[in-house]
This record gives sequence, C-alpha cells and structure tokens, in this order.
Amino acid sequence: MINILKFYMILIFSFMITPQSYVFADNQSLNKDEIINKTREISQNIRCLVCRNQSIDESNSELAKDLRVLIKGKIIDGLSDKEIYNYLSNRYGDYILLNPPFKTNTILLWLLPFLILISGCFVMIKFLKK
Amino acid sequence: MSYNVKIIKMLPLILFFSIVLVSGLVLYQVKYDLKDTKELKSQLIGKSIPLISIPEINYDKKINKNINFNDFKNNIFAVNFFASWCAPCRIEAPVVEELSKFIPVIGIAYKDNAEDNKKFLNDYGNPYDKIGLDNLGKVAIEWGVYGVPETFLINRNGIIIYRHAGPLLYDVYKTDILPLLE
Repeated sequence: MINILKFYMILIFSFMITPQSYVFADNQSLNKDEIINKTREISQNIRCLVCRNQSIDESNSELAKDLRVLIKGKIIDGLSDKEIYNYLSNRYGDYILLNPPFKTNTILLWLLPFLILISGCFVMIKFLKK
Repeated sequence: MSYNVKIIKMLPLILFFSIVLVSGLVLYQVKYDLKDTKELKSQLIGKSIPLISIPEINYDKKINKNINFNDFKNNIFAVNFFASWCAPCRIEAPVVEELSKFIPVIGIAYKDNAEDNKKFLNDYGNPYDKIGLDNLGKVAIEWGVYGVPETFLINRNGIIIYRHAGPLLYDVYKTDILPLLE
C-alpha cells in the first residue's frame, strides 16, 4: 500500500518539476540570429492587447510591432527574460503574459489538476486494494 | 458494504459536482464582469507618472523642449493620448474640451506628425495646455497605453488616480471623472 502511494507521489512530483525553457542568462554578445530568435521566443509569450487572443509574435497590430521592437531593444541592452516580462507586466498587468504566473489568485488554477490527480489516485488505490 | 467504501465510491461524484459548481461560479462572474474585462485595468493607478520625457510638439520647427510635469504640480490634471488619425478622438473632442474648463489637460499626440495634428486641432478644437509628441509610441508603452484615445487623471501629488481607455464620452465623464475632481 505504502509502496503504491510512494510510486504515485514520485509520479506526481516528477510532473511538477518540468524545466523552465525560457531561462536564459543575460548576454550582450548575442549574434543577430540569436537576438531574433530570443525576441520571437519572448513575443510568443506576450499577449497582444489589441487582438487579445493572439501573441504579439502573430499579431500585425501597431502595438504588437512596437512591443516586438521594444523587446528586441531590451535583449540587446542585456536585460534578462524575467526582467523583460516584469517590465511588461508592470505596465500592462499579468494579463499580457500568456503564461499565467503562480500567484495567490491563480493558485487554484495551478493546483486543481494536481489535487484532482491525487484524489483520483487515492480512490484508485482504495479500489485496487479491495 | 461498509460506510467507508460508500464514501469513497461517492468521492468522484462529489469531486465532479464541486468542480462543476466552482467553474459555474467563475463563469457566472466572468459573464457579469464582461464589461470590466473588455477595458483593462491600468497597472499605473496609485503610482507616480512614468519618468520618460516627452518632447513638446513642434509646429514651427523652432526650439525643442520637453513637457515639464512640474508646471502642473499641486494641481489635478489630465493626460490625454490622442492622434489626428484616430476616429474616436474626434468623438471625444467636445468632452475633453469640457474637461479642460476644470483642469489642465496635457495632450500626447500618438504616432502623429505636427502638420496633421495642427489640422486636427483646427477642425476639432484645442483643449490642451501642452501637447507632447510620441511619434514612435514609446511614451505610450511606458504609460501602459494599448490604444488611443486614453485619458489619465493625475492628483496633486503626481499620482495617477484614474485611467479611461477608449473615447471619453459624457456619461463616463459625469460618473467617473467629475466625482474625482471634487
């Protein structure tokens, strides 16, 4: 019984520890392609506030263009991704981030799937035991 | 069947209905907040004016200077982002005119040029105490502007207390802005 529980716990926690793919170190010696790629990568995580359901990478709105230019400038200035995301959410709110951040008001959003999974596991264990 | 097993058998059902209930409540809220979600809340409310300098619009190519917000210190004043190419800005022009009778209004011409802007002011009136030019849209981003027109109110301490996105219509002016001026 405890072994099964342990197994499920390990399974659940291994899902929780997914690598954050967008953690880069500041770098001023990025070449042209790297700057473009990084700009696109960040842009794909930023909501276009004019079209609302597109990222600024996909949008052709003026604001999206300006924000792409701004992000590129900040990358060249050597700002980290986190600093750029913070810069944008300080001005436009967390709504501009397509990945909702882990905060008190989003805790349910992030934890509910795991809660459901855990309670599901418990129910399954109880049934299997029978 | 023991009492315990019964409860466990009921658990998925209870869980299901609690999820339905929670999501139902959330959706209900969203439906009634729809008006609020359309207009985004400004993150700058309660903060001081962004530090970025704004050049004054230059109609006759003389001297270049920046707008000095200190000129308006100890006064409630408004900052209105507008543009000559922006249709809703024409609609709100009379209301901005009305507002300018009570408090100073600083206009910031967004992605505009002096020539078109002058024409716009000739056609729709000039309610502005000072006009700045934001030809690249950088000032707008610092202010968290996502579309023109937008109107901000700044209190005596230089703190932004209100933002309206979209044309300033009379009912917004009456219900939201006038009470803040008292």
